Amino acid sequence: MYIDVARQFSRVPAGRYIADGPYSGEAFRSKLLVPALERAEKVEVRFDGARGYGSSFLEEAFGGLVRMGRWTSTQLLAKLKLVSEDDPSICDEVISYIADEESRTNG
Amino acid sequence: MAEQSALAAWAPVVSWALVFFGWQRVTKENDRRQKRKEIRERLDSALDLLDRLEDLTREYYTSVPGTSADEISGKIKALLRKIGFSLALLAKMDARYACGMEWTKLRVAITGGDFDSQKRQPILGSDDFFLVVSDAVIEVIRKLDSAFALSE
Repeated sequence: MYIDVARQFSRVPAGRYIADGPYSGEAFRSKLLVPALERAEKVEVRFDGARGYGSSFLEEAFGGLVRMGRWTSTQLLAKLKLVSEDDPSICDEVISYIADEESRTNG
Repeated sequence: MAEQSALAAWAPVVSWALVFFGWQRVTKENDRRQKRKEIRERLDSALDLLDRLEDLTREYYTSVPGTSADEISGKIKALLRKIGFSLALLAKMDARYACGMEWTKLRVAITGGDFDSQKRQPILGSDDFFLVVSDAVIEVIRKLDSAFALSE
């Protein structure tokens, strides 16, 4: 299963929380990421095509997944395949949010 | 006598070989110069965009949240995309230009925290936050310029 952020969510993702707008990281997580992770063994997230990403969006969407406590960072890193041809550093940033959040949660 | 005629027979071959190797060397040197020129142009373009990014960051964080700030935020994200693409391309051309860590640090400094948040409060132009951003920009520039200098 794959999620194309620009096509299936928004070309202009923005903000951390739903209160910040309809295309926030929290909205992306609850509307697309969580349902996809529940349904599929492997989820490919494609970042290309959006106008650009703020770290607040990325942190809330992916770091927030670990904070939910339903999956460990190890499970998430195994389930998620991140793709960004335009700027591969986005994938590294997302991976760091997933990994860092678990080490922060576990002290 | 026989040795002399053997040498004479080889002379054109040697001569052509010298021409071929000379031509190959010149071509290789031209290619290297051309690639270096192309990298310099891409670097200069990325450095200009980084300057613009720093200016927009100041404009964004000193403004109150609203339509105007949202427009600036959109411009910042579009610039991040352009610069990110440019840096990724440079790293593909030559691995010495890979600066993913420095670039991510800058992106997080600018667009982490309360970026795009309705509860963000404007800050003064003299706030230390801008020094953090400036330092992060300089780290990216230092990495790129050092790579260029070392690729002489």
